[in-house]
Amino acid sequence: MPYIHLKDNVVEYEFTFKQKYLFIRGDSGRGKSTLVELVEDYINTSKAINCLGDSNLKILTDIRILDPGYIYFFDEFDPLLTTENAKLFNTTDSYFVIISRKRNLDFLKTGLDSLCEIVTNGSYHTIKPVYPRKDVLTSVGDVIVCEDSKSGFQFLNKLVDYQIESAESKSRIGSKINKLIKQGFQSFTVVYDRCGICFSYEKQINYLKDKGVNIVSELDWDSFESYILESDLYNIEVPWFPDKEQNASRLFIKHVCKTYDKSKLPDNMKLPIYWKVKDLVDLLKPTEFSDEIISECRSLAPDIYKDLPKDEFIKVMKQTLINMAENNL
Amino acid sequence: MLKITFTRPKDIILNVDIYFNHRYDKEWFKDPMVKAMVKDVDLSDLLDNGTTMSPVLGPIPVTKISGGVKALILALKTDIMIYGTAMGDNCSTWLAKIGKMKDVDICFEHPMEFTTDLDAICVDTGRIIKTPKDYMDAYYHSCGFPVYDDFDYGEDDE
Repeated sequence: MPYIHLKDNVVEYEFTFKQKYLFIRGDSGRGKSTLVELVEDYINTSKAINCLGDSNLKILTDIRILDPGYIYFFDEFDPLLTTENAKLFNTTDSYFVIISRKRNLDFLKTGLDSLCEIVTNGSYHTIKPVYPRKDVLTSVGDVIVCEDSKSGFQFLNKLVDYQIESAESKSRIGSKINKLIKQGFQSFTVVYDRCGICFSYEKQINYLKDKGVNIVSELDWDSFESYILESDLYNIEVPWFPDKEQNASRLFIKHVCKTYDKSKLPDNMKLPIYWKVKDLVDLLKPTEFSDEIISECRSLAPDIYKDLPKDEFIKVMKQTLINMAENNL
Repeated sequence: MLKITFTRPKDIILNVDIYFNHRYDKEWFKDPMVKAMVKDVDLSDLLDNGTTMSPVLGPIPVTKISGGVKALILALKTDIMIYGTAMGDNCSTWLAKIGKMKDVDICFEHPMEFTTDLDAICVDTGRIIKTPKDYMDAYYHSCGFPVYDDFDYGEDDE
């Protein structure tokens, strides 16, 4: 995992990142361009800058001579950053730190965790994720929308007895949710791979949220395969570089199912349940209430609920429990 | 008025830094509005001679101010088309203000976060932009979302 730590008598930058690409965003005047200048000065006169982290730093000057293993710094305005050059960027074994605004660079294959924001504290600069992952799932929408219909979708369908719809691709999540809204659904849980969605997330999910669509939770594993491999069942750490999604698929074939092709969940595969998937299962599993407990709850409940039929009353109790969980009570 | 396009013209100057560094006029730095923009966005004090006092970097030449402020100054002082994606969100209030003072041709390739009303038009569609929501609608429309109809996000094969 690259570790950048550069310091002179005026400024200091320190951060790590794990994916092939790191996009550093942030307000104007917060030191994004100064970082590239510092790297440039370090390359020209290394003794002028204290390099306390990785020293294999370069400034991108020629896309045709990318050295594997190096960390290249440049601004998104660089004329080399074009869709025509995308294949060269995506296939080389180099890291890229790109000073960025919010431009959609979806020709670069990367994940949501590569979008970071500069954080400045006096002369010290570091980064934080633009879209940090919440590791707890506290509620489930009226329907679960899965970005595709492949193994992840099939896996969830096996785990829970709930309405799960496939969007067929990450670029059709909005289209699918629109259809579901027309069918009367009001809240949604969205399932997607963080490793591959990146700029699509910004376009689609942010659009939906801006339009007031109620996305109550997101199940955002790095990829379905990495979720399986990194479970206690397999305990295989999937490397991030150069592409965690591809690495996970390769390792899945090696360790889980030799004939796996993503389109179908292997038969008889063990289904590990942990992390947010466990929360989902817990939230959706039917809760049994004994007559004794129901009777006791009825005696405590406000008058408006006391005359509700038993099954309606159980629904209210379940919702109350979910609300308590959401509010950490 | 801000004349906004979401389609990048071939001849637009993307590297605002380089353009500014070679084209600035020292007289610009005497303008109180320019000083106020540098103070607000870069948190730095711009002196009449162009020297800037940065709280982090200390005294720096004006060529070291941020790309966002350079783009704002160019928007205020020149008639070139501005690449709005060079600006951080903390430039948006100033940009809206400049748009109420003069015509500015500007291209965005990202959803800038405006927080104030605007005097703008999307030249791609001819739609007037008065509010941050109008701006976001224009941006989403440029991405292919049919925002001007009822909510009906497409890419639908049916």
